[in-house]
Amino acid sequence: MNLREIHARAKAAAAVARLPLRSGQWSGTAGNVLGRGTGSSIDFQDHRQYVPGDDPRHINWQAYARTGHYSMKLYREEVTPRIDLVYDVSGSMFLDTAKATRVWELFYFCLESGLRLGGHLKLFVLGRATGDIPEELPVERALADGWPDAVAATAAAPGKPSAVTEPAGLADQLDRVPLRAGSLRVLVSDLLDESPPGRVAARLGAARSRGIVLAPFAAAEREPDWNGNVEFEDAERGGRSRQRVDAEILDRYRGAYRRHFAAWREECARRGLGFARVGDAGDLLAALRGEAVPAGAIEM
Amino acid sequence: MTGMFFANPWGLLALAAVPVLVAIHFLQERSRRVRASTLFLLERAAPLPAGGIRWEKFRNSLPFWMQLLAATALAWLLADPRWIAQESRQTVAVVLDSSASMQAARQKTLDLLARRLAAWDAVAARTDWHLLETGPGRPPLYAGRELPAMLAAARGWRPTLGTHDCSESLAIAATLVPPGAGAVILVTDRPTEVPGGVGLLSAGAAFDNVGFSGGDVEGAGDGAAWRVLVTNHGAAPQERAVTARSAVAGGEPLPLGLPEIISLAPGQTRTLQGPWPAGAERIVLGLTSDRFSFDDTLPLVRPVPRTVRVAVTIGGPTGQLLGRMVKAADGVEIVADPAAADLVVGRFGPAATTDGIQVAVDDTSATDAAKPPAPQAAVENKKPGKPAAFDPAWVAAEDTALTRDLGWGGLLSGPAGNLGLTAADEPLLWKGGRPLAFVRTTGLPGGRSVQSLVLNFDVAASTAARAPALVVLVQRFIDRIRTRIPRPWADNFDTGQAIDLPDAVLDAPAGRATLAVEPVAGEAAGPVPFRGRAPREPAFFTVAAAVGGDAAPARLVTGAAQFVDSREGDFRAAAPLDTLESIRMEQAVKQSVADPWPPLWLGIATAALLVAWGWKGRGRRSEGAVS
Repeated sequence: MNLREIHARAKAAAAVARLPLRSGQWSGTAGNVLGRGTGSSIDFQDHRQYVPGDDPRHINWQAYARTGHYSMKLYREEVTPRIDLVYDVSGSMFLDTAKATRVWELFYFCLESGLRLGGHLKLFVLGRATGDIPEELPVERALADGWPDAVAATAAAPGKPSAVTEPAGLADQLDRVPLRAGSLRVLVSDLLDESPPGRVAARLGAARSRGIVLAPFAAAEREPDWNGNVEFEDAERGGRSRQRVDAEILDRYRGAYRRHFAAWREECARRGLGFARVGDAGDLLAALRGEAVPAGAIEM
Repeated sequence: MTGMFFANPWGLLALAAVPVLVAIHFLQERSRRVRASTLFLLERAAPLPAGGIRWEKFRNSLPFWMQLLAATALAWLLADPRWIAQESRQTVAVVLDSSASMQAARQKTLDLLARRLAAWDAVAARTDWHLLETGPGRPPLYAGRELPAMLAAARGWRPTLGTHDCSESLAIAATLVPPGAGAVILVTDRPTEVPGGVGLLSAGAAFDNVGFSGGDVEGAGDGAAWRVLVTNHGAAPQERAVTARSAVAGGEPLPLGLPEIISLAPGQTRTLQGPWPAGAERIVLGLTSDRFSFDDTLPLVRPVPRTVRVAVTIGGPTGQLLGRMVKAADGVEIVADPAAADLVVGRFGPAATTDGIQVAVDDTSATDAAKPPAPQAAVENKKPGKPAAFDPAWVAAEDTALTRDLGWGGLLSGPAGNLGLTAADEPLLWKGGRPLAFVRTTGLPGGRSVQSLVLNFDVAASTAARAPALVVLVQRFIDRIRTRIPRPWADNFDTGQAIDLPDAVLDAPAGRATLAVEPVAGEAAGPVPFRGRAPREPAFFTVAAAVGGDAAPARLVTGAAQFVDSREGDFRAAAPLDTLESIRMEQAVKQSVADPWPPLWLGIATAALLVAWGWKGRGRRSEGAVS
């Protein structure tokens, strides 16, 4: 697996699609993205009565000519939006080569799109084991592929047994991430975790932030070909177990799979979060067009 | 086609592959290893076992069913199925060995026979069954087409005979079976030599048996004593308790002392004896019962001999010689009055009214002054004082019961007398073309007859005193006369032994003689017609008949039937044996037609194996492509 090639493809895709920064109201330092407050951009926002101390350059002289009262023209501020990119690097994200490729594509897409939109990016890599502190990774290091050794090893050889035996829950890890207020919080995770969706969604949508959940998935997860006696290797914990899988069990599994993501979708919708699942089939843009674009999680 | 069977049932062993296949498919050849990220969802659908499992539920697959089909087709092919022809017919003659030893395993034998014959019944569309038993003069037990009826008849079979030759019964059975369309089965309890083609079936088993092997009463009066033989037929030392009790007819048995414990080495025979209890007419000796109970009881009666009263009416050397011969016989009492005698030894006379031994040629060495001379016409009176010279002619003997197995080379005598034979005479010896000795039967008024042994030569001038053959002949004749005496007697007999009754009794107009049997243990049965033999099982018995002119039957014979055939009590050679299967299969093949489609089954098996192999190969290829 060549991360540079994947990065290059994602960067190209970021020229076509982007994170939905234009449609929101953001806060942050001065920048070139409309903020939620009043600023000095050219986008008219409102009128109000003049009060001493206001900048006389923004007095609406035409209105004064008509009414004889001073009124002020207000304009939207332009900010540099805060983007908190949370990257789940648990073993299930790298189940096989196809899924790992799509995961890395999604991550680099978000990274490049945020940079392209002038966002103030912070990268957080969720801890892999219980007790690990989610690691903040400098953007420059990510751009230079300077990943931690464990992540780099997983990236190099997807599908290998995980060395983690007690992975931490997604919600627990997310609670320990220092997300910024008023930020665009992008979570790239396959959500294959038993954490309550509501807890994660609440965390992502808190503090006047907007959350986006991009959930890559493998076709083998949605429609597995298990039949008969199967020895399962847990991608998260690395343990093994035998199980006979017949059509009835497979049906029940499919139902559980659907209900799991329906719960996530419902919770994200309830809290106004963008939610999209991104399959590992086809190229990235095609995959994004499938669900992410219609859901507003990605703009084109 | 009426049914099918497998000519090679061993071929069905191929079906053993079925459970093996099932086990393999339960065990699963190897679990497919899959890396999964959604096990927590699978656990919601079906909880995973904690420690892993080896046995799984049956996994349905095409290879399994193909392998199953191949195994079944091969089993079918190897078992060589055949169908019984509609017109098939067989005759099975079952000969039951009626030796008493069969009683030890009688029920097991009948059970085994029922099982084995059920298999024979399926061999042909129609089976004619014959059930015979060994032994002389035994009627068939069953003849018909119904196996259950034949088995029911077999349940009534009672083996009681001593050791005997089965070949005659087998020969009779063989005549009932058409060549190539049936079989003869001998049911016995030990390996036995039989003619080729005769099947052997035995449920016998070796065990250590101890039993009576003989018994008798010696002496008379207060000095009488019983004496019995007890034999350990086994290969290990044995201990038995011997009991003796008196048996009063119709009454309770009375113990005679405490049981005596005896020890016998392997093969040892011990003699036990004791005084005959005063006042007792019957006693029963018993041994601790074992698997063969037939020889564990021995009934004894106090014998009352049939004494032959003999009067010797002839004097001189001939009379003395014949007198000595007569006295040498057992059960003979010399009486002086010829009228009270059963047998009179005297000169030949045509008007005899008593059974007798008659001399037709006078002594040439002496005259008999004491007795009146016989009629000149009847007795040749050679010149006295001058012994006749020996006639060099050979003595030729007829094959009769009186002369059988006797050698007459030592009997030298003068020439035979001039007496000729009549139609009622039974010639015994010939010399020079004339009868030397014969038995003459003379009819009397009232239907009676008398028998006379006529010696037609000069006995005193012969070597008769030194010729054992003539002594034996005389004693045999006395025994013949003994059977004609209608007086009651008592004796101990072997089971099934022939008992000769006087002709006068058998021919009596009052009816046939009857036999009343009183078992050693159990209720006495009512009288049945007497068939000339003692009971077939150990028991006391009486034979009653009308004697002489009496209309009322009187007890004629009192006896005890003992089973004392020690060969039957030896079970060391008994062993289970079954040679029927090969004969049955041979018969079944003759009566059936073969499966016409062996190539089809072979093709199915091959195709199924190829499909299974191809399917598994495809699976491996697809797995390889995925990885």
